[in-house]
Amino acid sequence: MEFRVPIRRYAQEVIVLSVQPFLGRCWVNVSEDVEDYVVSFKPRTPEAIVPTVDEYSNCILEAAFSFQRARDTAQLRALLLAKALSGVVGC
Amino acid sequence: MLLSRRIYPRQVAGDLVREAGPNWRTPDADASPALERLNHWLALSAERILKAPPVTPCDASGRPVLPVLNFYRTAELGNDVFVASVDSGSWTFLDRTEHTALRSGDLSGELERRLEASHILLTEQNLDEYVERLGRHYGFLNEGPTLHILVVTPRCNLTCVYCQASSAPSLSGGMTTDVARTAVERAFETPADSLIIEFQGGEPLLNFDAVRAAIERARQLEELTQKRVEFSLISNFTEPATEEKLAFLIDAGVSVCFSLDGPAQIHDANRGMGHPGCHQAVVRNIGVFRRLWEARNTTPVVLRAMMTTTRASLPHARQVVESYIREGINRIAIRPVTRLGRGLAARAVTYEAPEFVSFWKQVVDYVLETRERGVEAREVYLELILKKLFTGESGFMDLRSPCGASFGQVVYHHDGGIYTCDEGRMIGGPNFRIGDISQPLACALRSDRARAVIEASMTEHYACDFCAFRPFCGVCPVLHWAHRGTLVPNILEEDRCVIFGSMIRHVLSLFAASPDARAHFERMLCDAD
Repeated sequence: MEFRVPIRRYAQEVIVLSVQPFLGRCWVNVSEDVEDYVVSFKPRTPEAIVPTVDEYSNCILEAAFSFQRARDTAQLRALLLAKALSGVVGC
Repeated sequence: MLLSRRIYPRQVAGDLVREAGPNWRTPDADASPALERLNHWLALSAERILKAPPVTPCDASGRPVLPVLNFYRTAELGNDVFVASVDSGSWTFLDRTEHTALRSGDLSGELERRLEASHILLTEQNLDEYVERLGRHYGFLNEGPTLHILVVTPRCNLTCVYCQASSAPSLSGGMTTDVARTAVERAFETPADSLIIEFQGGEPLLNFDAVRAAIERARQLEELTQKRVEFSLISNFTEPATEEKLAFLIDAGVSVCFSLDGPAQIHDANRGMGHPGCHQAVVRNIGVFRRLWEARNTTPVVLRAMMTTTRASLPHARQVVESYIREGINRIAIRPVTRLGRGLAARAVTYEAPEFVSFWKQVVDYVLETRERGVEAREVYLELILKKLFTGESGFMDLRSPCGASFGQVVYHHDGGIYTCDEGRMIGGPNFRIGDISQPLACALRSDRARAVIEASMTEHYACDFCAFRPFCGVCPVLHWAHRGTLVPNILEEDRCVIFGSMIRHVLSLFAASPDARAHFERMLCDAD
């Protein structure tokens, strides 16, 4: 099963993250052509099921949400970690 | 401050992260230029963090305006149950409605209280507690290496089919007693207050003089430095484990761990051609060890064994557990073949990661079943994941970020070389050799190769950073280098992600769905070491 996802719409990290739920049952390959990421799934065992379009689309949206939240909270995380580590390493 | 900037560069560095990757292809050739480029990249990242307009509103002193949603990750466990976690390892379950409400920021009542308790929602009341917990989660950064492995010989009397160290009877070389003593002196240079010295091989009991010399020197240094030292030794528990040596080890307080792969037909099949009767020898030595222990101690004997899963084990999960219980060993350590040495080449004994996961789940199911019958059986990875989830455990070096290489463990090879970690020395050659016992330990720990491996093991750099299981998981750049020729792990190529991700998911799913499993988990945590 092969999916094509527009490069202009998602960061590469989102695509890598979106396939994570399927790694246990599928071999996954991610490549790029001119306009799209090409994501292909191959079952690891004969019984394994490859994701449906709906299932994979949801995972992309989920991944995009996480990625955006990570960007939005990067400063907060850095701030809190600096505070947490101030007693651990020489800050 | 630098470390905090280094830990989260990915979200702000974006595409720059890819620039650092290819330069780490060979730590040997490119370590210094890679670090230069990496530092440049990190400096840029830090600058971007500092210059970027704050997305999280802060007051004049830079403190976030509260309440605010922390960075959280979620994973669906099935049956409309989600888990959400934050960097400190705090987590909570959510149902689908709550998950949707969290996504839309529509928080109130019970959900709001639960999110506050799990630090997903940061408030005036829990901010300091979260920061304190985050500090504890990364507390090991300040310890220095605590595990010091002495590889006293490459030689072994057996030729196990999966041996990741490729040990064999024909191999020559062994640690001299002088090298053993110097290695121990180097180990005591660690900033850690307590340390574990572990003897490995080959079969370490084939070079018992080195073991004895190291223990004696360590006891002297323990007295001088006031550091606390513990010993462990990994043996195949066959002919080299004589009664005299076992008695010495018990008297010296050495924790002995041995291989037991299950019933005789599986155990002996894994020992290689020409070594029949090994299971019988192990069972005999368990009896000897128990007798020697009971003659010296009033506490019950603790038997530690490790089971390596091969293709032959896969259909026999129950028999493996039963073989342990039959020998009075209730603590069962199930581990996959490490694909190094003969474990890499032996296609006949290896399997796909999901096959191992399925085997491990069967073992866990059977362990819980035996507990229903009153046998207090435990599985080591199950217990470890529970500790990570419920007690904030961060000492296990394979499942943390950065991993244990150089930061938590150091390996002293029989020839005096110092390596990043057990896997690094098994690969051999110069790539993960970070120094020599002729130099202070600090030189090895500060070497470019050590730093390259530490940097590469930080899951904060990778897609892992978006995974709900990240606070409980870790990567192994050394294994990735052995398999793919690059230190930078790629989850698309990593069996490890499948194995540990599935294990953590399974434990959480059991906890969410089964009150019986939950009761056993609670008791396991109470009884854990």
